[in-house]
Amino acid sequence: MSLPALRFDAVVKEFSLGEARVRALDGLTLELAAGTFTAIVGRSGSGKSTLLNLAAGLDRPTSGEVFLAGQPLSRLGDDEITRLRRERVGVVYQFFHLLPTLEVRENVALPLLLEGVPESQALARAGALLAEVGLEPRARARPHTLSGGELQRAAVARALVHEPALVLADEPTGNLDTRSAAQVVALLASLVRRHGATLVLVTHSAEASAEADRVITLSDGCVVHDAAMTRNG
Amino acid sequence: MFSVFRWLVWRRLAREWRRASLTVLGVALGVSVFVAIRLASGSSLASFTETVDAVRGRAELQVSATGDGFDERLYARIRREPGVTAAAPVVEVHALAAAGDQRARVAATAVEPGERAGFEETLLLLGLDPFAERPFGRLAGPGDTLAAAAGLELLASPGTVMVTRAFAARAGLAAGDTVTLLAAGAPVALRIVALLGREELQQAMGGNVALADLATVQELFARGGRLDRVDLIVQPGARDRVQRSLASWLPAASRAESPRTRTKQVENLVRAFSLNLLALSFIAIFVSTFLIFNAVALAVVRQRHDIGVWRALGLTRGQVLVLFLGEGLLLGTLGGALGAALGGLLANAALAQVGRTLETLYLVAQTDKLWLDSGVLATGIAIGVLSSLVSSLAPALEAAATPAAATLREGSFLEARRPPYARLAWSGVGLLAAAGGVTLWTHLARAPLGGFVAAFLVLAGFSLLAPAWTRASARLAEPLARRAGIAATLGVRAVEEAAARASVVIAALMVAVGMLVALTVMVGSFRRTVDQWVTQTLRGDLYVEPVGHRASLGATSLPAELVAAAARLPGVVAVDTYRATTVTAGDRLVQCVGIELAVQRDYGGLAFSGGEDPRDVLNRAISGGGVAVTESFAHHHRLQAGDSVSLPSASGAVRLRIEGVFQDYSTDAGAVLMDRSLYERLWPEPRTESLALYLAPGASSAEVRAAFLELAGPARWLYVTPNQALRRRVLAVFDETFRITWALQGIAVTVAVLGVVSTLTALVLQRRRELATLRAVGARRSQLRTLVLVESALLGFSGSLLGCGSGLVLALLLVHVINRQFFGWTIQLTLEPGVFTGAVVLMTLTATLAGLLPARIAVAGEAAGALRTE
Repeated sequence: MSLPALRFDAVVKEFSLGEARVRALDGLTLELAAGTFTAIVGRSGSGKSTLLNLAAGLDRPTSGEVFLAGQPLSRLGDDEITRLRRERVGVVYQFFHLLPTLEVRENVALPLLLEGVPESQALARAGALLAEVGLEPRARARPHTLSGGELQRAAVARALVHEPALVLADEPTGNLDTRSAAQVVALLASLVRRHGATLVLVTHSAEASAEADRVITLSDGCVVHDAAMTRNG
Repeated sequence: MFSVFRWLVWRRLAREWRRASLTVLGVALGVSVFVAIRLASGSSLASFTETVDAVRGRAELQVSATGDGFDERLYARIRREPGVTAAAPVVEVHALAAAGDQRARVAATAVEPGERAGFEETLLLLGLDPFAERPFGRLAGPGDTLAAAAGLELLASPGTVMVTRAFAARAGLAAGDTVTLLAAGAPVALRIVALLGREELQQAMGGNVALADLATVQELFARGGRLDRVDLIVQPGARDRVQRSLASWLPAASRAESPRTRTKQVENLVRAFSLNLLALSFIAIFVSTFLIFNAVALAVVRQRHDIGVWRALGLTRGQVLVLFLGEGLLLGTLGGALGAALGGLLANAALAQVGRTLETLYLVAQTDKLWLDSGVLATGIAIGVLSSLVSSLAPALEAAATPAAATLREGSFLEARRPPYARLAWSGVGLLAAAGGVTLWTHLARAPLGGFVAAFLVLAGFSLLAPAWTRASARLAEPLARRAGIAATLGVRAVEEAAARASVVIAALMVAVGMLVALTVMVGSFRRTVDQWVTQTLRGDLYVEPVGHRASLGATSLPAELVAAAARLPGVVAVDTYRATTVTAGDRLVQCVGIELAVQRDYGGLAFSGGEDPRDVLNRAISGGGVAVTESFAHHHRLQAGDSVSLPSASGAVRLRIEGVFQDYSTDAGAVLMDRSLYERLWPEPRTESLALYLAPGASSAEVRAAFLELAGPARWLYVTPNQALRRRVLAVFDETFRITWALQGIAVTVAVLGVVSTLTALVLQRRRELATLRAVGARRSQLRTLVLVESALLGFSGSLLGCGSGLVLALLLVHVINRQFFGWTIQLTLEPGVFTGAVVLMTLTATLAGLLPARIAVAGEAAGALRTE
């Protein structure tokens, strides 16, 4: 039996807001199998984005353990987590977070460059991903000239360029119109399946979660519903 | 990593090239000042060394005596010393010169102090023995029979000379022409028998070298029977042995040394001056470090969101640190390289200034040849690089600590944590206390460099006080700003909000203003002290010396009959005569001066330390054969009244009792003052270099002056200077000496102002959305401009006030510690309120003007664009 792509074991995450302490995750336990598409849904403040940040190693739990491909993240130093994230995780954000000073193809190639891949190779690979997402004609454009949908497709390409085992998407359709949102989700799901990665999608959108194999509902930092989805065809 | 750097840092800098250029320019200015000063000082000394090397020929040892030289009868014995293979006697003088025969030109009136009466060149004239010269190769190179023959003609024909090709070309002379020298003010024409071709001589003193027969020079310059040195060539390996043997029997005033020893002595002489100048040049570099700090820090702030993305994509903390250090390094390297180039260009201007000062104060001959020392250029670049690395370290560490998760949320707080005001302020207080401790140690240990360390600690301490000061200034200014309207209020609030960045600018301004205030107070106090000293000490009504006396390093003298006749002029009640010789006491050059102590006692105005009555001191010196010494001398030799001083006289070492220590600002090398009778016993060569005439009450200075000139005759060029004119001349020399400090100071202020422009521009760009929101809710463009200008004015005002505080402390350090330890002088500190208010007004105005460009940027463009989110 293969290791789960992601596992949360009684994870608690608390934040300080002034004098008050807020518990964003309250003993969360879940396992996500490799190669699956899981949607995480819930109201604002339910802990969805916190879950993603912990999964990406961008934050550390107050207690409990997060396992990424079987590795407990608490035992890793900051540099080791960063390397792990660089090699094995791709993230798509609601607000795209493309670097304005780089061309689209350079934004996509950046994770490879950070891994030490030669520049020409990295750009070639980025070009291939942009072709997959239909943005090859805009490869040399600057981000500020792209529409929202195009920006998010570029962000999807960046998240996949280094063949990660796990793709985390935090409200990727939150800033898009309905049509673009549907396109992005479909693209994300098909690419992830084609590349054999595991996809965790945080979303408010029912249409987005309809594509998922499994839908987990969070409320007040806990799982309140966990359903495998059946689809026709 | 290089590709990552190119994409993430270089591209951004290239896009923001204007702001990056300001930072690079600031670093460049700082480095250029350092390079220019080092090149100028180095060139002056290198020129001196080159001259020493050129005129020594192949000499390996030199027997020399300071002061009046030594008896030429010693030459025969020196030549016979075992191990010596060749010996050549030399008399060396510096003389003012002019092309052509100037004897017919009549010295109808006295020459104004500082002028040269048309004798614009200064020649180094060597009197040599042509028969002894061959092994030394000065007269002629190997195989140069023409020059060798010309050398013999020097001997055969009195009144002849050889000059360099370079000098002849410049003066429009050729072999057979005449050059006129001033000897004790009297023009002497010498016929040029040949031109010197040796390349080294063309470079020495800019080619202003002339060779003549020994006897010719001795006669012209009243050096009959005296030699300045004997140059020696010794057997291989015998140098040390010969040196020891000579030392065992030479008179105390003479010594056998390597020719380079003279260079070392001059280096020691000018070290204090050079060091202080170098320290000043570091001020601009210090200010430019704030520029780099802010440039990198602002880059971190503006990119904090992007840094979060980099971290999320997999850039480690270490890599983020390297990227921002790399940015600082790049800016510093560009600034350093540009600064080195600029410094090379500025060095010529600095050379003229430094050279004039060295010539005036230390009699080191001026040069206009710049030595481009690649080591200095490399050091300048290295300083730019190092200071940039150091100043970008803190912001780079801050960038590396950026948490990825927090910055990726929209609307995150982008500014750094608030500065830890209390901790920084207490650290600043701690550094100021440390400065106090170092000052005390400096005084006790007599370690001059400690003064610079203390000054650095003061600047660092005040810099750490800047954040708390910034916040306090903004809060104090707010009630006043409220009265001026909402725009002014927002401007003041903006300073408080951006305290972390604003305090860096204020610190930079503090350094620049602090040095401005400190230097102004120090120079002003010094000038007032010198003015008082001149007024009190120079009581003579007329001062007489031959034109060219200073250039000749005191080698000229007045005819004895002229001196005697001066005393008999109607209206003259007393004549003080002056002669001096330079000796080596310990390892330092010291001037021994012989004057009429009785005249000084009755008419003069020496001021003695401790307030002792000068009459008592001088009476003891006259009756007991004692001496008085200057403060500098007492300081350098750690002596005081009642101690004894050992001096090398012509007949051997003598110990003389110090009767008093007096204030004197004519030289920092130190001087020993004695009665003429004692002087002539110690150095028995009666001569008078200059005179001071004291007139009876009611006597006309102009009439006595005219009578004296008539007495001197039309063929003698003299300075006959009334008291007031001499005072003005002394103060003019003083002002000239310090002119370079104002230039250095101006550059430091410029760098600080560049910091204001650069920082404000970056802050405006960072707040584009905020400013656009103001426009959207109804603010006029003029109100936005006012907001930015109020910000810049507050930065200038706040920084200059803090600078007044640091300037006051630095002034105390400069006057009572640094000056005291280096030069030994007493300076009466004078604090003029106008200095402080002037600095505050100047810097506030300058900073406000510097805000015009950022203000323009603030109102440029439409609000909608800035309000659109990603």
